Amino acid sequence: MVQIRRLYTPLVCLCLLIVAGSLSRSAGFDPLTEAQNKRVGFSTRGSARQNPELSPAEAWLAESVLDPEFGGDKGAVRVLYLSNSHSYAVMDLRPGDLTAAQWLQVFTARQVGHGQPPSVVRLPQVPNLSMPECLIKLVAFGEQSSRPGDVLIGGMVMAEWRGIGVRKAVQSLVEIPAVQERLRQLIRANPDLPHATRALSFVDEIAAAVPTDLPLATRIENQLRSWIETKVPLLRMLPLLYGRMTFSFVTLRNRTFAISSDRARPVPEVTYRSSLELLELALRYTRSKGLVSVIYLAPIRPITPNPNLPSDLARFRRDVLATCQRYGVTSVDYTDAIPENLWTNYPDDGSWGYTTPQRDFAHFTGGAHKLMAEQMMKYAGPLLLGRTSGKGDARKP
Amino acid sequence: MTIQSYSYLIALPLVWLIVWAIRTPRPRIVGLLLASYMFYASWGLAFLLVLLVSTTVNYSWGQVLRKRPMAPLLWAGIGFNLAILAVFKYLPSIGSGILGGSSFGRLVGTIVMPVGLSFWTFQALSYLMDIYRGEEEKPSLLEFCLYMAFWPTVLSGPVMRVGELVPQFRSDARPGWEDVTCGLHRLLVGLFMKVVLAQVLAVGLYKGEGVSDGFDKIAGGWGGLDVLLLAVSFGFQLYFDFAGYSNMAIGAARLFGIRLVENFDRSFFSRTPSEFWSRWHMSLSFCIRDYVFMPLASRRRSLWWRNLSLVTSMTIFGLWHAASWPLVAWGLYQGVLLVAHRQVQQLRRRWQFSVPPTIDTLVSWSVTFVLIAVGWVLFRSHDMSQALGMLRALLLPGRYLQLGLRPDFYIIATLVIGLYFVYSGLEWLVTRFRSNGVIYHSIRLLSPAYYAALILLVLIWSKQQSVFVYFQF
Repeated sequence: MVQIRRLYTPLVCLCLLIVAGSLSRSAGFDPLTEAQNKRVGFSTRGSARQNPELSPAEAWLAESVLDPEFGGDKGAVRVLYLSNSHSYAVMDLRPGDLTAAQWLQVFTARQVGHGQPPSVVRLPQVPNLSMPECLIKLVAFGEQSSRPGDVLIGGMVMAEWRGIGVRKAVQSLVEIPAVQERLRQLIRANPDLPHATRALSFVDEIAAAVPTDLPLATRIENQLRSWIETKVPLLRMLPLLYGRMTFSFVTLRNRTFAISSDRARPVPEVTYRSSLELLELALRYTRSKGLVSVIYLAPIRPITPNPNLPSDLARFRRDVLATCQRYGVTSVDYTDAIPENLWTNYPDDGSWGYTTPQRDFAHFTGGAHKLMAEQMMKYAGPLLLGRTSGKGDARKP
Repeated sequence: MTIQSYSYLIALPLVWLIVWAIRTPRPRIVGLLLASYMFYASWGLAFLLVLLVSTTVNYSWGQVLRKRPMAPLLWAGIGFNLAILAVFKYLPSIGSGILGGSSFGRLVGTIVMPVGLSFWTFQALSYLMDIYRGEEEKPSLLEFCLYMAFWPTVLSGPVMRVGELVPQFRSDARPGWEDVTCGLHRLLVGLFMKVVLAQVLAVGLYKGEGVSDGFDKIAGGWGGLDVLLLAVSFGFQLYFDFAGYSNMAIGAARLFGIRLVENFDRSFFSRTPSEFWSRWHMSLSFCIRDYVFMPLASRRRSLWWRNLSLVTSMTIFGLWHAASWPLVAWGLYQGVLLVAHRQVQQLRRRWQFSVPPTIDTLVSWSVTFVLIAVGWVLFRSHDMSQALGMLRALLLPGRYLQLGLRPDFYIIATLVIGLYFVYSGLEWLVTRFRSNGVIYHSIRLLSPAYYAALILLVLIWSKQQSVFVYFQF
């Protein structure tokens, strides 16, 4: 009897874990889908073909923008389009809707008619791209596949300047020796940008932590871990369970503090300074590599209440444009470029992570993407076509 | 092999079964020693070599000291251990800093410190000092080897003394059911503290949050509240991390029927700095008291000398962590706090100043909590300019309106720290009313759900990377 009583806790505990494992498997929760505004869509392979304005060749070119690599197009200017989800997500997506980057690819190809496109545009799709992440992505492009004269289009989104974190997926690029070395060089060579270099301090930690030859115990542990994780279903579900917990926290937080999407979100001074210096560091890097930069300020939805504080916005516009001007970089201010009717096709009703319908302040419609691309061609077209060296100034569409 | 790795969690029951099957102490010591050496060698064979050299030299020197307990011989032994610390711990950081460009600087920069060096060197020092004071247990070479390399303590303590550990090695009692359940409970609670709570405070829930980003990625511009939150959160992160690790070490040893000394005792409930240091990293702070402060203080009877000894001891405590100015300043600050506390106590006695006990407790606790938290800024800062910048933000009232950290981190940190106090209160209540039948049966009924929740949370967070703060020491 004593033995049975002793075994009560471990046995019931084990049963509960088994039940939790099978429940988590059957729940089929995907935190990414769950946390996403359901009205936001993404241009995928095949969708460009549904656009009646595009020829089959143009549709193919538009779809190639989503490829992860540049491929082997010799002689074409490579255009890296870096920004957060506003650059690749389309609000109330309709068949054939394209992103601004895809339109740019089409427009540049039309400039020279049929045949070899003068530029190849690629759009890495990274949501909530912070400035340190932006710099790492840029250096990875610069060190791996760029040539002098290639172009960086950088979309600056003020909301992303509220943080300077780097996710593991982007951090893994730092493990590429050339990228790591160049980043370390940038940190060492730019002590006048202390906030930027501090934000990148993890690069040195990664450099110190990556051993050339893993010890036997680590190799055994890694193999053991991957073996156990294939055998125990619960362990495979762990990242999703973590996502579930995070999502629950956000929902609970929003309910508790009555947080809505239009609530004012000030940009903290510390992250703002770091992000601005990181932009400067990025421009120094592009200059050193002979890359042409085109920086634009992402559109802000012209309605009130608005999460972006007017004072923050004024400072952001002033500082980014002044920094670009200092480095002779073409900059386009899209802050007020998209009218309200191009932000959504239907009444606002998204409720991701919230309890009541919410407005989306980050993503706009396919029509707005096209408008942005047209403006970009107007002000930076020659740069994208490789017809000028890119001594730029600030433009306001 | 870290103590939260799969390899460790699989090896532990295997070693337990082997050791449990051995009935006599000597072969059991051999079994434990082999397991300890294998565990330590998993960090690097060269590290094991350094440990073996230190063990052999210290044991031999102990034999000499036992025959002739003279101060110069003791100092020679201390000198040997300090030399090991200097070469592996201080020289690389000092050398690469001062002589960075030279070939010698580059050479010393490549020296890698064996894990746990500070801890097992301190154990060796305590062995020599105990022999000199005639308090030591006379271990055999085999017992001494195990004392130095015992795997639950070799990486990060608790710092044990020969007299506390060796008699337990000699015991022929096998671990009982209570040892196993208590050991597993401590292991699991320790894992939860370290893998979940410390991790949540260190990195938050999303990128760019947490103590790590607040200290490591921001070069200036903190607001007063930011610094306060970072300081308090770091204190708790360190507590969950280190107390969690200590729980795991104590639990692992307890599985084998060996009881280690406690390292933490609800440190954040302390009402004075002196009380804090009798509840925080107790094994080391008691060693510092016995082997540094007492010998120093007993040299003169005057008050100023006693205070100076206190400040010196705490500065050495800071320096023990690493050769860095912020840590030296942290030790100095803690020493000054202890001296100030003594002075305040004396003044209160002289003026017969008294307030109602509840208010007294609340004020003392709050003041101690904030003062200790301020110290964490020094402990965690990369350099003095960062530390001073953060401390300046604390002193400027205008800076309290400026928030630099992500709002979610404020919520998470408050939640975790708040839950810690709630949990501690519940634990106190349960301990007090455990004899009540209803409470006893309720706890028993709910315990499987409690442990299942702990295991699940540990598993979920184990996918996030966890780095133990005290490994660097």
